[in-house]
Amino acid sequence: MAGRGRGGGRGRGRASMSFNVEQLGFTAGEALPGPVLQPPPIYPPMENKPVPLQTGVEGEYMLALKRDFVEFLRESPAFITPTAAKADIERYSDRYQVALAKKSHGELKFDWARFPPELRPQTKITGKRKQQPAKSTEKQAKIIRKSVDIVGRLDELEKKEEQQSDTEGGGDEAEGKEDEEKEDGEEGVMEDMEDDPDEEMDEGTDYINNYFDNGENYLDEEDDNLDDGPIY
Amino acid sequence: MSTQFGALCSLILLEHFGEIVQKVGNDLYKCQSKPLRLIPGSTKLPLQKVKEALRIMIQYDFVTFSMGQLPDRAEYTLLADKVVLLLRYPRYLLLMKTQYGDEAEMLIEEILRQGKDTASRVIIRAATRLKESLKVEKVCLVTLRDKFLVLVNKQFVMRCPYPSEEKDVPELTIKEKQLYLPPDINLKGLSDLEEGKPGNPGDEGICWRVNLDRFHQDFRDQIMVSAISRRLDDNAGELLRQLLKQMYLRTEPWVATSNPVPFTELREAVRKQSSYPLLAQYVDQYLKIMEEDSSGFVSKVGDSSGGQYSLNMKTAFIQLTWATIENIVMERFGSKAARIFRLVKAKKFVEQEQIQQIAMIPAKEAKLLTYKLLEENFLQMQELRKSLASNVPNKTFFLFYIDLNQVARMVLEMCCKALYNAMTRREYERSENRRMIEKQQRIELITLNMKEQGATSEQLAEIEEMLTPPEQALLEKVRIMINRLNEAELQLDETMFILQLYLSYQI
Amino acid sequence: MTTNKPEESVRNGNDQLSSLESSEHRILALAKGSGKGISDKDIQNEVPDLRPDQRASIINKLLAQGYFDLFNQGGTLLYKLKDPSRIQKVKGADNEEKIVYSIIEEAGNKGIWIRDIRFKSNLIPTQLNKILKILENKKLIKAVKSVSASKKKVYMLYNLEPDRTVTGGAWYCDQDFEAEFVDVLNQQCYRFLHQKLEATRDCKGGPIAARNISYASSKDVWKYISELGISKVQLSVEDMETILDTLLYDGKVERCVTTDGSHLYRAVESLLPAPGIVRIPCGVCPVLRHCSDVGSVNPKKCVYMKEWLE
Repeated sequence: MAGRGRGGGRGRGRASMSFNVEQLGFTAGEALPGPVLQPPPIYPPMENKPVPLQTGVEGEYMLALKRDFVEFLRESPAFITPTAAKADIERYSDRYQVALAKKSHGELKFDWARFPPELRPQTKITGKRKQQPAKSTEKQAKIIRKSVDIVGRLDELEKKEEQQSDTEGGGDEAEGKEDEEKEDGEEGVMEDMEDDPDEEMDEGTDYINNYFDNGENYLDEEDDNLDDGPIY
Repeated sequence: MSTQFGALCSLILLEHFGEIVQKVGNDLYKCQSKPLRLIPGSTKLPLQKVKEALRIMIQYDFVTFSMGQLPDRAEYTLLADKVVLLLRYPRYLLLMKTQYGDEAEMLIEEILRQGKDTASRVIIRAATRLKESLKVEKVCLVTLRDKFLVLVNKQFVMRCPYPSEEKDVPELTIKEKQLYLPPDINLKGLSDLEEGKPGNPGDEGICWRVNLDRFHQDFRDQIMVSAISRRLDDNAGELLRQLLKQMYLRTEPWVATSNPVPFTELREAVRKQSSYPLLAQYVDQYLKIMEEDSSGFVSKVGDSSGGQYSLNMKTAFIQLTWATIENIVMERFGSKAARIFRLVKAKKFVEQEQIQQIAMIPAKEAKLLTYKLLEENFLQMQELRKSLASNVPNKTFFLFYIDLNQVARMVLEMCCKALYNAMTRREYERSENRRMIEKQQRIELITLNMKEQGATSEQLAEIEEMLTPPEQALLEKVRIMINRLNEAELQLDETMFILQLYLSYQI
Repeated sequence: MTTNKPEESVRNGNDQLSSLESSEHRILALAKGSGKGISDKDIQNEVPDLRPDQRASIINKLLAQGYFDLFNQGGTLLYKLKDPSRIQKVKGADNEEKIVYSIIEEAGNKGIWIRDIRFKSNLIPTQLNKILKILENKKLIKAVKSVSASKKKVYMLYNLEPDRTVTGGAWYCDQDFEAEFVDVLNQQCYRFLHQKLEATRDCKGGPIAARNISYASSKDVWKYISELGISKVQLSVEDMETILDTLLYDGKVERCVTTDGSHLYRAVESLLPAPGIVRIPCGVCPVLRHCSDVGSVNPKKCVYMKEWLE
């Protein structure tokens, strides 16, 4: 009887390849696709176009809702900016700026009991706000404007020092609330066209803080403070 | 969690809360949980900023915390799923508006805006906004309060969990039955507060947040009703609505299959409403048709009380997912490819030869399409070796099949990517035209300012002309582009919803 | 040959002859008794005193005379007694021809591919090709081109009508698949069923009545299409069902089986409109897999986006 039959799609005079052509779905004898002469285009012509978007009143309304929501958050205290808000020199265009009062949509009221203690506002004098080295002239301007209030500030700080020993880590609710209010109050001012002595008090400037530095914030300054200096 | 999902989450945080929150969010996404002290290092942000970011994210329920390795240090976890839900907020608000009215919409919006808040503060803010938009002096606080209570009763809002006492890192818990306990609001205190006078409405400390899953439940029901209406007609849609209502009386909202609803009760409910007379006349017929329809939303599970019927939520979403994916295959690869896809679905396992034959597509085209579907993972392939004696060559069968779970996950990734692309492009178009947009904004502000100061119409016209016609045309073009991308994002979220719901029933 | 004296050898020869004849009878009887057929080994067992060459010559003789059919089972050759009515046909033919012929006969009207004949017969290609030519010339077999692969030829008996799977039936015109024709039929069938569905929209008789009206049997559809006269070939009801099944897989119709086993079809609407993902270029983008923030395919510079946004 005759010999064994041959297996696979090989043989019969075809050039051999490293893989089995059959596996690609081509049966033996079918023409392979033509040779590729150039790299394929990055954006080949699109055969099937996308279906048109659904339209309607509801869709448009949702668009407006979406825009409004994002706008609201942008202007709220929830939107944290990395850099100082305003330029220092009074500019001609300022005349036409409406005081946008960023954070004008109300302050975020945190219920501090619901937060881990490390996130609650500290009651140390200097620990509450990250102190930044003087970089902008804005601080200088503030120093000049606020220098008259140094006396008032001294009084406040004395009071704080007395209270401070009782409260470490912000456990006291009353203290926490007071801090919170101050914090919110300060956040309410962005374009500081108006003087607000109370807020400026706690915020202070490098000059004042360095003067009153009682060494307690040494451990708080952990990172580079060079890049951002939020002024409240 | 995938990289694509993380990238999307990151963009959403950036758009809504800024760069700082985004960076902290990115950092937390990469790991399961992290203590505070490790975050400034990996994000290169100052500690203070990190704290602020965490506070915000906890407030909006995007981050949770629990006790970490040290008893007074917390570990923070990002809830990326919740972040992505920000895309759905407009839909939640639309539902409120259409089903419960403008006040309800306003109340929910106020809570969403703050993350969480007390009822009285929410009501007061809503009142303020209503006064502005309706241009009235006073708004009825009682109506608002009552509306709020309705929302509590319907479980659209729920109480936030309470912190435990005397633990270093507070543990937040709440009992099931406390979740929807209505607040006791002193109206006098409320109205005093509203007028700016000191007042105490009596609900300080009771914080509320939006119950997003409750909205998802309504979306789910809407999709099912709309699908049946498309498939059969509006009467059938109404019948399903009634069936759903009956279902809620006796079943938990998220089970795969509902407890049976007796026909007699269903018929009663249908007869009570008057807008679908044909339905009332033919309830039993509609029910039969729905039950026999291939969509499988409804099954008959018993004969007592005229028949017991139950809703198959899990099956429904399997069918809806199939429909979604089949649609995608058709739009993406063409109708012949869609035919092949449905063929493989029907036959479960099928060879290339059979595909060509049954689908009646020329062999070469069929092979090409099959290969494309395989390459993009809409089809899967199984190799079967048929072992024979040595004198006959080994015949290897290639069988095609569809693993729906796998395909659904793949399409979900596609949606994430498309969303990411849309958001990226949107931001790109905005920043490319930033100067122009800012100019327009300045001009608008100036105009507003001058109007308040009583400028003449000539002066106003002069200001308006600061924007040249070509600039105006360009701005209009940009506006349209940004709108279109926003619309696309909203509609993409719809697709994501169906797939996510399907996958959640598979677990 | 044994080395006997001449007388003895003749006598032995005669003995051998008669013993050969009786062996032949015994072998035939053995084959008759076995339904499956008998192997060389079986024959050896039955007539152990036969020499191998004697055995072989008997078998060949019986094959040549057409008493046996040859089968190959797992490498072993089996000899099966042929049905007497068929013994006449291949008188005078070569053994191997007979083997090949019976293999082809077995394949019926579906035909058999040359490679499969080779495996079943174990013949070498040159020999097989020669035999096939001979058989073809004798008009005993014919080669038919199969639609499943355009270069493939299948062999079948000359008088047989090739099966539809080979010729393609109504859908093939000279080995070419008539895709357009199929598409037109697909569209017409759908139109027919869709019209039926539309007609039920205002039906006041209740949903079940409406649904029943929208159903059509494959015969109904066949009648409609035949009356349209768009087909130059006569189509069968079965052909119609093949087309209707493509509509089924298009998601446009549903099928149900009646109590008497016939099929009913009706047009249906899909459960959902097009999903959001395909309303943006990404959903239909051919290079989606290559898209990322880095690289030439990216969302900021995407050409499809640009077109779509305009």
